[in-house]
Amino acid sequence: MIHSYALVGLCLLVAAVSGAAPVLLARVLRSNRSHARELQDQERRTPVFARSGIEFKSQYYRFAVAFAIFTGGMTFLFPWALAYIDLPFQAVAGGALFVACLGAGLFYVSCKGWLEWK
Amino acid sequence: MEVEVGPRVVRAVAPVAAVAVAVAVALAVWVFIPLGPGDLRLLDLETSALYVVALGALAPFPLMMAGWNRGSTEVDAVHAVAEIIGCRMLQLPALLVVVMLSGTLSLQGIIRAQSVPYILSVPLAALLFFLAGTSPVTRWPSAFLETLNSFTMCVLFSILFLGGWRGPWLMQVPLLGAAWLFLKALLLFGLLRLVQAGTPRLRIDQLLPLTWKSLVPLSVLLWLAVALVEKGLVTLGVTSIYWRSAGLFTTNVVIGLGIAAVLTRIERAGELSHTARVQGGR
Repeated sequence: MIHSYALVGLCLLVAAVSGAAPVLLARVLRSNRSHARELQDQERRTPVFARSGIEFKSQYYRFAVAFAIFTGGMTFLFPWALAYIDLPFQAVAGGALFVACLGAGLFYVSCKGWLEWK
Repeated sequence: MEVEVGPRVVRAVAPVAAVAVAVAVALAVWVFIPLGPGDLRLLDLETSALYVVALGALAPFPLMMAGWNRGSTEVDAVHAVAEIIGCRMLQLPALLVVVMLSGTLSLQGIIRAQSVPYILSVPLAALLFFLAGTSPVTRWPSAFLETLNSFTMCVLFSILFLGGWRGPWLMQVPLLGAAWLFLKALLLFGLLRLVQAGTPRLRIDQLLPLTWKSLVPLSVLLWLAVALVEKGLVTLGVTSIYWRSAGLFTTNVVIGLGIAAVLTRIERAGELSHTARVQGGR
């Protein structure tokens, strides 16, 4: 099993290198002279390498937190789903109750208006 | 003009790391794609479906790395991350349904369990998985990444819902399994492109409420219904896979029609109130 995971890690490394290699090669081969206009964002005419003094609204984090909570909850269902075929009906009802609790949480955040993008 | 930028080394590494992670995530999925009934794959893992889910969870990172400290692009990156995590929430219950019905996390095992393709048993789950794949976020700025991600999604859909490498004449020519898998994925890729080109692109303030308030609860409800109906049928003594698939298909159709009826009523109520406001204003 460790051998399998070592191969997975090796494949990830090879894939990452194969993605980064063209970008690095382009940096080596391209000219370093940048025209002033190239450094502007073509659509907005703002400098590209600028400090991003953008105010990040709390809704960005709220979506991320909601995603983290519900994905974490759903991940607990994978072992349940694996054993589903052999589970009695009561265990299925227990899993349904767990999901109902997650659903109640989703309903709560929806009512609070956290799932609106303004 | 003097501009402030981040630390020099981060400014140099972040774009390269973004591309590296994006390509790594897209290519790493192919390690476990089963191409045929035998050992036609690079690696075998009993939890390959969970591995695919975990790789998908890495998708927001290259977006944030690419947009970091680049002015307005950072806002676009945050928007893209918000969209992608919404779509991830759609795919998880659909994947849970497949794992539940097949009883395994192995992609090869999921294919072997599909004596009836899951698109016929749980078409609503397949539709939700497909909808998540048509998300605007799959339109990466690089054409190569976009094509790679979209095609990988199509191959995964073929494995999870269309029976993967299953097809005629496999016993005689096992290598045909790869052909069947890629044929299904290519047809789906064409359909994906048609849907992306033919439907209007939703704004983020339209997409996120639609995903989180409508589609995610629908997918959870679907998962619940499939779990209860399947176990109920088994408890009642229905052992035939075909009758159980018919029962699940009926459940999916009923849920789909019910949701459509509810949405139609909500839309009509919105039109009526709009008409009343307009007439009252006259």
